[in-house]
Amino acid sequence: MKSNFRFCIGLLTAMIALGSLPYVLQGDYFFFAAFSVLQFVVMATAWNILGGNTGYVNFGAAAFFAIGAYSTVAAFKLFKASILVCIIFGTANAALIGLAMGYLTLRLKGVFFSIATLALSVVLMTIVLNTDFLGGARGVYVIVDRTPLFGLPRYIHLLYWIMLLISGFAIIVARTIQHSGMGQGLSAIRDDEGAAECLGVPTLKLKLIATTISGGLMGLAGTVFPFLITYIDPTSTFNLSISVNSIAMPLIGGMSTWMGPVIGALLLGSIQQIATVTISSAGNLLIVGFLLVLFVILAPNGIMGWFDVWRKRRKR
Amino acid sequence: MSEPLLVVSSLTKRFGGFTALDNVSLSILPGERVSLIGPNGSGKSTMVNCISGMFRPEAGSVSFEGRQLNGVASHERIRIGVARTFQIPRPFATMTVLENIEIPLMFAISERNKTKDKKTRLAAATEILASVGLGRKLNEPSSSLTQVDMRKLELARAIAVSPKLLIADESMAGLSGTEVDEILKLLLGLKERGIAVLLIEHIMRAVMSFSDRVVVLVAGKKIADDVPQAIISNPDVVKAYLGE
Amino acid sequence: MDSQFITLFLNAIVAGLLLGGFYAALSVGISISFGMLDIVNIAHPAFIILGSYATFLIFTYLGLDPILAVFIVVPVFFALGLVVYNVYYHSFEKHGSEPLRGLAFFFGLLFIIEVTIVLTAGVDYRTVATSYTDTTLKLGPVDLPLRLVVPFAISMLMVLGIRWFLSKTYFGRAVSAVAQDSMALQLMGVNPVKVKSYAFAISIVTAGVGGALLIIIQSVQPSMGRDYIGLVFAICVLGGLGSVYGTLVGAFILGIAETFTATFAGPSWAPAVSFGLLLLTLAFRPSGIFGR
Repeated sequence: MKSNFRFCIGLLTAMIALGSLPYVLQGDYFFFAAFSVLQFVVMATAWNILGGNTGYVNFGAAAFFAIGAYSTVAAFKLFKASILVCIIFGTANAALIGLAMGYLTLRLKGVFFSIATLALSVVLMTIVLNTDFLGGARGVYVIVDRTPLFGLPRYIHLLYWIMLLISGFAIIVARTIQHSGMGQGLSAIRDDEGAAECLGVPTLKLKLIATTISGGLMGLAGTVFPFLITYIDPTSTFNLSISVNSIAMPLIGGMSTWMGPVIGALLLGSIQQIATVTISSAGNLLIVGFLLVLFVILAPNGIMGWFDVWRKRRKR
Repeated sequence: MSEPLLVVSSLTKRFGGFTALDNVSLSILPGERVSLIGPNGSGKSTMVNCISGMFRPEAGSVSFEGRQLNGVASHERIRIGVARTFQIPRPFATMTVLENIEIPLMFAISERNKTKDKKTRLAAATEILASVGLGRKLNEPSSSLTQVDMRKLELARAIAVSPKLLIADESMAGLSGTEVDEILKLLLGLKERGIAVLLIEHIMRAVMSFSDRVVVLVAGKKIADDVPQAIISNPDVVKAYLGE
Repeated sequence: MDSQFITLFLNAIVAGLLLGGFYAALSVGISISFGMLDIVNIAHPAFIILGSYATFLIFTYLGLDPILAVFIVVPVFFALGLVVYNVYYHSFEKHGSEPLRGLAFFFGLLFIIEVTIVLTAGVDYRTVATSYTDTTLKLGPVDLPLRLVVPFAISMLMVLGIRWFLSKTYFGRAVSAVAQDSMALQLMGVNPVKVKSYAFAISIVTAGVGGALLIIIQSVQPSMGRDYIGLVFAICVLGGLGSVYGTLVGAFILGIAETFTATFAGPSWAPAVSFGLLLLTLAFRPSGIFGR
């Protein structure tokens, strides 16, 4: 229980520290960049709930993100829904699609599952492209009343706070799963699914739960996006770079615990923000690609893996 | 005469054009020790996979304590009381020995009997591991165990929740003489726990000393089902092993 | 029946067959790398686009027709394939790593190739205008655009050539064998790693050639690779992994399905066809039509 206590204190401290920044820092750019990095914290954490725990690689993370974003668009266009309603709606949709996808594909060998996730994201993107209500290829505008609340100086600070809360939520979910019985069952599945099944682990059920939660959280990450950039189109929401990042960040940070994706997201996300400004947006994507390949070859256990090795060496 | 625990009835399993099991029937009584022997490729592993639910038979049925198992998922079967080990041990490599045992203790128990309390679970796990001789290796990574210790872990995982039937798939393959004796002793001790054993084995001395009954499979068909003494003098069995 | 409908229908079938033959060329590489070598080269379509761009550069700077450009593409892509395989083998296959790593590797490679093309050639559509690009033969009511017919012919040559190679030559049969029993190969004195590396290199060559043909058919743009992932895997899964004939049949089915969708429902729905078919096949009959 001590570790739970330490975790809560740590998380709370981080949230308060980061949350007070709007009252201290001037200018919008930091919060824009921070929003983007936090978005990746959620995506990476969510992706790892399935990928790190079970070894099933989801190539279609962007699709779930887009489901969240487009759900917000739909809710906003139909009901002028508030952010909270959009968040709940988008998350629920993404979770449902995650469940459906899992049901269709989790019986397949790992590789086919991955290809199927890619197929799903293209099918979804094609549907959106052909749906005028959602803007089709032209995209759609989401015009909100940008009044800040809670004494915050600017609207973007509100969105930053929301993203901060969502990140904290995602981390709590990931950590809870990791320490729960379900987490141990998922590890058994990753180590040897056949043996796990014969020892009583309800593999299909657990995988479905993981896919649903993972998908739902990725959708959650996407629900706030429209409010930030006010213009949503398929190219930006279904972007392959989102999917690549969602895999690269947990891989680079370390997939065996909830901390790895967070570290990977903070590191890689920040690098990308800097690179986009100093080099170019294409250049920054190249960096991500190279880092992914480099790490998967040389350091498959990621940064947390290095850390573990270093800790073990110190003990001797 | 008690009711049979496991009844395999006219089981047939095909893979494409190849018939691995052809109309095989056998039954096991509670607490009985039955060995299943036969040349390589005779269908023994297929039989195990069908009973444990990894394969679906084309025809025939498997029933346990009177309940039909066709269509029942593997993870359900261990909860009902049918456990199995694997020919090549399959430990959960990233977990310690203790964590490996925790898995069946958490999942292979039906909801009613589940122990929510981690302390009780750990105590049970320690006891089981001690009973197979792994008491001092609780926190070792399972991937670094010796061959014979891996076999013990494999068995310990399967019996952790006191199944009524254990199918031991070549648990002694590749072990030295003394190691075989260690495993054999473990298996013999299961009767006291009320666990029936279906032993799949090639090592004849183990089969002879262990079994109440021996079933012989050749090319997917059952050719003999009798006490060990009768089996070794059965001309068909001798022919199958030594050739014409 | 409405004669305009018949014309539309016939043209859709013919175009579908022509396209299907071409698709087979795009997919036969996956049939080798995934079907026989068990390597999930999800970057295969990126190599196709790379082939297209290479052809574009050869056409622009050397003035060579794409069909002649193929002669340069083949050795270059063969070497490239050898390099990629060796990195893959030494990093993953040798140690029996979990499949996730190989997948992530190729995914990263796909990304790197795409972004490299963007950085060197820009995001604009590139096209190649050959002497026959705009010529269309007519057979009754049916249009036979040469920009489809020529790639079709070359594709069929390549696919059938590979089929012949795999079944009739010593090396080709070693490739088929290595998938099933590399131990037996070793006992026969054949180095399975070498066989696999050559086979993988061949699959990359087919991608390069496919790319050269692609740029004859239509203009290309760096991110197109992703759209073809579903297509090539759908074809191989549909036809049954490891079977070249299966790939051919799957390709024809997909080609016709796509042209029919484009003709009667609109071209913007076409990408969903291949991926949708893939999902359905995976859900209901994962071993495909001619599956092992």
